This record gives sequence, C-alpha cells and structure tokens, in this order.
Amino acid sequence: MVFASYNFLFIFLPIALVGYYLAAKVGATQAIAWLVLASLAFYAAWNPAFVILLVCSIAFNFAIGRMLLAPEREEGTKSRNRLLFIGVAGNLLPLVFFKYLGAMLSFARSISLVSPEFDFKVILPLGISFFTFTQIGYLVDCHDGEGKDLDIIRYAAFVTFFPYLIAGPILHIRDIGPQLLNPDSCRLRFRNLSIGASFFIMGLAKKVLLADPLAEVVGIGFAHPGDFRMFTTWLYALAYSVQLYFDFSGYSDMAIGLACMFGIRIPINFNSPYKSRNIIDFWQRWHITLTRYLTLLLYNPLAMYITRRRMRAGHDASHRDNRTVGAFGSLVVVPIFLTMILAGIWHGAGFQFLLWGLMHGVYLTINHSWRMFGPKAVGKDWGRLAKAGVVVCKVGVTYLAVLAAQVMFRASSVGAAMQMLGGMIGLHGIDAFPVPGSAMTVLRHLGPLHKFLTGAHHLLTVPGEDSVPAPASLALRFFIVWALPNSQTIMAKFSPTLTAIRDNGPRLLTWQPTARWALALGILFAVCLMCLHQTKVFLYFQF
Amino acid sequence: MESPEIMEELTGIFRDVLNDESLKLTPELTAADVPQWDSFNHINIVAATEVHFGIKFKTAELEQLRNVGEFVKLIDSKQKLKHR
Repeated sequence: MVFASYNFLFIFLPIALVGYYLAAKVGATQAIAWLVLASLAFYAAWNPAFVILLVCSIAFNFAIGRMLLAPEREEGTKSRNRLLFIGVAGNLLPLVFFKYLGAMLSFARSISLVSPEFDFKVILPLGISFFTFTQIGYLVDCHDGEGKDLDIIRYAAFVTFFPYLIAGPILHIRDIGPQLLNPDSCRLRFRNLSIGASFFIMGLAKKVLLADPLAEVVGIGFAHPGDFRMFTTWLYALAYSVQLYFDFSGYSDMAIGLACMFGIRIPINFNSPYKSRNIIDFWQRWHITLTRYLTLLLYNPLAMYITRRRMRAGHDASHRDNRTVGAFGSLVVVPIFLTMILAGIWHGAGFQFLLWGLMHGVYLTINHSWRMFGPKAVGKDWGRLAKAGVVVCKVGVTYLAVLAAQVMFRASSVGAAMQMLGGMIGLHGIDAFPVPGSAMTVLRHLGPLHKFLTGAHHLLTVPGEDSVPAPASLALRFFIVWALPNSQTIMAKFSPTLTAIRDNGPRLLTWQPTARWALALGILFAVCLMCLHQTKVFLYFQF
Repeated sequence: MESPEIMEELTGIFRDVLNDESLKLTPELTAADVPQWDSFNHINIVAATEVHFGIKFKTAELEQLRNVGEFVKLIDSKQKLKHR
C-alpha cells in the first residue's frame, strides 16, 4: 500500500486514525498497541509472509536490548561488547541474505567460482534496510545505556510506525521514545490533524503532480543510454534528478504529515538539497537522517578512534598539526571513503551504487581539502552582485556534481551510466538545443534571428515527441526547487517536525490555519486525487 | 572545576583547532554559527577536549549536545564523576 492510493487515503488512514483516538480514550498503551497493529496491517498489505520476519526481528532486538540494559551487565564491558556484536550480526544476517546474496552469487558465477546452474532468487522485504539500520542504532544506544523505560509495545511502535517504516526517516530511540512514553501525545488535537493533513497534502502533490508524470519518460531515457545526443541526454538526466527530488521529498513530507496526525513529531529528512553550496552542505540536506546515522555510528567512532590514536602517538589536535597531508589522509580520507562506500552499498548490491558512493567520497574529499588547504577569506570585500554570482556558481557546481552521481545511481549498470555521462559531454554527437514551445513563439517575431537559429544551422528546437522530457515542465520544477520556500519553511511557525526550522519564508507562503489555506490545499488535494490513478511506487521503496 | 573555568579552557581548545584567535564561546553558540566548525573539526575538538580534561565521551552523549553550554555541563559532570 502506498500513501498515494485510494485504499490508503480512504480506507486504511481513516480506520487507523479513528481507532487510535478511540483506543486513547481507554489508555495510552492501548492506543500505541493499536498503532502497532495498524502498522503491521500496513506492512502485510504488501506481503503478509514478511510480517513474520519483521515481528521476529523486533522480538530479537528487544531481547538483546533488554540484556544489554540489564543492571548486572553494567560492569562487565567485555560481555556487553560481545552481546552487541551478536545483536548487530543478527541484524545484518537477514539483510545480507535478502539483499546481497543473489548479487554476490551472480558475481561468483560470472567469474566461474560457482557452477552456472546454481541460482538463487528472493524478493527483497520492503523497508528491510531501514528497519535493520534503525534497530542496530537501537542496540548501540542500549549499549550506551539509553532506552531503559521502553516496553515491548512501545519498542514495536518505534520500529513499525507506518509513516516511516518503509522509507525512513531513520530514527533514533531518543527521537521518539519520550513521545511514546508521554500519554499526552495521543490526545486528540485538531491542531495536529490540520497541520498534519496540510503537510501531507504538500507531499502528496509533490509525488503525484511533480514526480510521477516524469517516471515514464525517465524510464525511456535510461533504458537506451547510448541512443541520444548531448542535449537530449541532458534532458533525461535532469528529468530523473527532479523526479528523484520530488519523489523523496514528497515521501518525507507525507511521513511528517502522517506522524503529525497521530500526535508524533519526527525529524526532517530533506531540506532543499539542491540549494546546497557545497557537497558537505548537500549531505546535511539530502537524506539527512541517513547522514546523521552514518556519521554517528560509523564516521564519528572511526574518526575518534584514529584521532585518539594520533594523539597518543604525540600529535595534537591544533590547526597547525592537522594541516599536513598525512593527517588529512588518516583523519579525513579514510573515514569518509569507508562511510560513503557503506552509504553506497546500503542502497543495493550493484556496482553502480558502490561507484556512486565513491564519487561522493571523492567530492567530499575535494571539499574538505579545499577547506583545509585552499585560500581563506577570498572575496570578503566584493560587491553584492559579485557575491551573488559566487553563490550561483557554488550552487551550480555542487548541483552538477550531484547530477553526475545521480546518473550513476539511476543507471541499470556502470556501463549504461558511462554511456549516459558520455552522451552528456557530447560523445554521441550534439543536437539542437531544446527550448519550450512558448519561447519559440516569442522568437518567431524576431524574423531573421529566428531563421538563423532554427534554419540551416539548427541550433534550437522544440522537442516534439512524448518520449523526450518537455523543457518547460523541467523549468517549472527547477523553479519550485530553487526559488520557492520548502514545506518545512512554509509550516515553520507550527513546528510540525522535531527539527527546529527558521521561520524566514515570504509571508504570502506562510501557512496559517485560515479558510484561504484550507481552500487552496483542498483544491490541491482534489487535483491530486484526480491524478492518483497514475501513481508509481516510491523510488526509495527499493532500498 | 567551575563552569566559567571550563568555558575558558574550552575557548583555548576551540581557538587552537579552528584556527581563529578571535573566537568567543558563549553557552548558546552552536556549530551552525561558526563556519569552520564542521564534522571534521568537531571530532578534533572532542578529541582535544578528552585529552585536556582526561575524560572520555560516549557516542550517544555527544549526539544530544545542542550548544556549547551543554558541552560544558557534560564536561563538568564527567569530571565530578572522575573525582568522586
């Protein structure tokens, strides 16, 4: 069941909401138990058999967590470390089995390590990467002494809560544990319902009106990576880039809105990433909770370990001592590459995901080395125009780097990605520059210039076929991406998320509980419903 | 050691790591306010603080810190535990 479907909107969600607030009349624990049941039903709607896997995984992790928190283990650090190791291994085993074994075997076949008949196919349980990571994080937190007062029902709610079960955000127990323990969370408040529904509709519109209409055409482009000349290839790459943006951003908004309707606040996962001015900034805006998770559980411990060792070896942490190539290598490059490789293969077993991670590793290393060794404080005394120009360049370069990596991310193989990227730099020839039909109409009044641009030289063209993304529809989407405030800024006054957001959007686009906003969002919702029949599954459901 | 003293010593560590002699720490200061204070320098600040005060932080403790003031409080509580 996807959020953008009639079954979800008109059957599942109303039943889940009414049941929740009715159960809350009996007691908070009953309400949360209802939430767990509803979430399991939500998961079962996709494949009932895997509910067993999910339930076993929850029981296993809760048991290990309890053992880690048992008071008699406080002292014996060694036995606790061993227990944590068993717990993490117990989580990774099913993940490897379902997600990576098939790919590993086919690789083994390709280098004749196993016989060609030996095949193994299994469907990937939805959201397994997400709930596996969430629960490993929980075990690490238990190891550090957190999450003591959570019972099994609340723990199950933390893992299964349907708004984020399948595609994140990836939560830590401290994000949501206190809210589940607070009986006030499940009290019916119309404020929560109206804020939640508004946020949800904005996400739904992104998904249904902006992302899904591009799905088909993007599929065509990436299915024939070598067949197009330069500008057409660019159109396909850009179309995928905005499709992914609105798909993921729409999902994140819907998750926030749904959680809010149940009185639960979750952190934002997406903060206008294409407005980033460098790659470090990008990773603090794109899939924020994955970055946070990997930083916390992988990058930080690794970097701390290396730094502590360096200090014991007689180095200090001062700026001077860190500005050497050796220090840069061990303190920055090693942890970054390990983290990004893991981030890559987290998305899947293909080599293109590994390369996507490596590309971002290279980007981040360049970014960090520029910060460390590059010139400082250039352009402090420049004029406003020059400064604005610099910002545009920074955003542009960052976006191009992200786009190149996204082509790798979307392509069916590394070879296909290279074909696409080759096409983008003109290796398959250069075609006429695509412009929207309306721009061409304006040009038509220019007489000879128009003749020159479209005539024998064939410099401009209006892409006619349906199989090529329309330049105007892409331009509209990039306008929304770059020029408009994002949903959390629009809603900032009413703090619908766990993340503190600055309320600095234009007043016209600041949400208010007024009839005007209700009408506008109502119309948007109606338009979404009319387009619902062509919805596609969320791109992040495959991870 | 009292909080103002911790703050003063912490200022020295921050200035050294971030290479900014004019940096002034306040309890409300966050990483978002200081451009050089990124994930890399954060690790260095934490490691230098550990060495300076002779304490060790846990991953979960560090994640919950919202600003410099809370960092000072954490150092304070760690030191009290040590001397008990």
